[in-house]
Amino acid sequence: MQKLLNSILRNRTLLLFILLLALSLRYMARNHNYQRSNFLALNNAALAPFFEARHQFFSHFNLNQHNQQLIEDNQYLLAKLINEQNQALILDSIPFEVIPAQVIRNSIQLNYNHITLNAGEKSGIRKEMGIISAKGVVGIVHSINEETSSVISLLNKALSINAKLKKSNHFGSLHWNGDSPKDMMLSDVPLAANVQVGDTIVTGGMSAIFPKHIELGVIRDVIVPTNDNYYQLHISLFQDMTNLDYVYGVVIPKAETIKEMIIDNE
Amino acid sequence: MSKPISLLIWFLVLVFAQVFMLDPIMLGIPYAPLIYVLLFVLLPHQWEAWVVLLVGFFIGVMVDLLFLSGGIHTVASLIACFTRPLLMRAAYRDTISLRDLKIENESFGSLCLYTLLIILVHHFFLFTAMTGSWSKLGWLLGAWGANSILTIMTCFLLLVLTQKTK
Repeated sequence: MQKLLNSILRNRTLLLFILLLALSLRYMARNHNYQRSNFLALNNAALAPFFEARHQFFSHFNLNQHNQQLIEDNQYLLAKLINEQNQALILDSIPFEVIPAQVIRNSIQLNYNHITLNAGEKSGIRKEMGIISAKGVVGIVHSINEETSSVISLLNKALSINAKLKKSNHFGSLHWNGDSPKDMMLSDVPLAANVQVGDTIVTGGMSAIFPKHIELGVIRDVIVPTNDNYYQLHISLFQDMTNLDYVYGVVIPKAETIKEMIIDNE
Repeated sequence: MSKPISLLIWFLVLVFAQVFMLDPIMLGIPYAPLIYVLLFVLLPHQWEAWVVLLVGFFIGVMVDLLFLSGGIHTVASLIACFTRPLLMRAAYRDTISLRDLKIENESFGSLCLYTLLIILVHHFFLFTAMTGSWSKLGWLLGAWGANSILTIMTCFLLLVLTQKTK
């Protein structure tokens, strides 16, 4: 402390000069627009690395808040996208909604894999609700309780979902054959369809679970069977099913009514 | 007359003359001598540097308030006062210690050199602060040169008129 005081006393002229110069520059910058803009530019250039370092330091403490913000942003954008792509399906002006959730367990080694989410009935998750991520379909809710829910993963041999080619209306059934978690099969696409490697596959929307036009993946390989009228298409998913974190449950407007209509038709 | 009273009279006279007689806007000329700089020359060299800084700051603020010039005189005055010991050393090279310096005993030439250096430093920073940019370097050098010549001539005249005969 004594050393510090001595140091200040020894350099008092310089310190006083810096202080008075700062005051007079501030006084000058406040009164001259041009000088002010130059002063601010110089100030910003000199202090930018410090501000950046400070931002980097404090941003680590705010990661949870940032994540929450990103989830909310994604939720809003996904809902907006789904609503825009499914205008014709909106009943009584009730829009599609999405409910955010986080994956707390994800099995991928089994033939019948399941995912557990940290959101349940209390958050608005319902049985047979479609679960999507920002990159595509994840699965369908199988069972729920108050706080958590269990989802049939896309990597479950028992699950097949309605899908179609993005460029045409040729539908098929997307399912997993139990091999690689990245490899899905799209069957029941008629040979009449013009199918090429690289074509995008989207949800068909022929159920009350997933809306239309949610992108799923691209065709990686086309197999034309000799004794069948349907393609066997290998699909590479956009969503890496081994790396899931934040997902969203899709609330289809009047889902129960649609389900009843589908059952009646069948 | 004691030194502080003499300084106060100098201060009042120079600032009054500066504001009411040598205002370039009032005179309708682009440049006018800034004679208040002479105060920095006349401040006793025995004064502590931080006291000189405070006095320089005060004089600068006063001139800025009276000229409505928004701080440029304060910046220039402060820098002139800060560099004053260096300029004094440069002007009175033959004197071993500034503490022992007695300006009255030194040559009038050294006093003129000292005044010249302070004016040049003050005016350089004044016009730099006024332009606020190096892109107008030509104008800055022109204004610095012209105004410095005017101030130097006026200050030398004042020094000659008020010089005490030994």
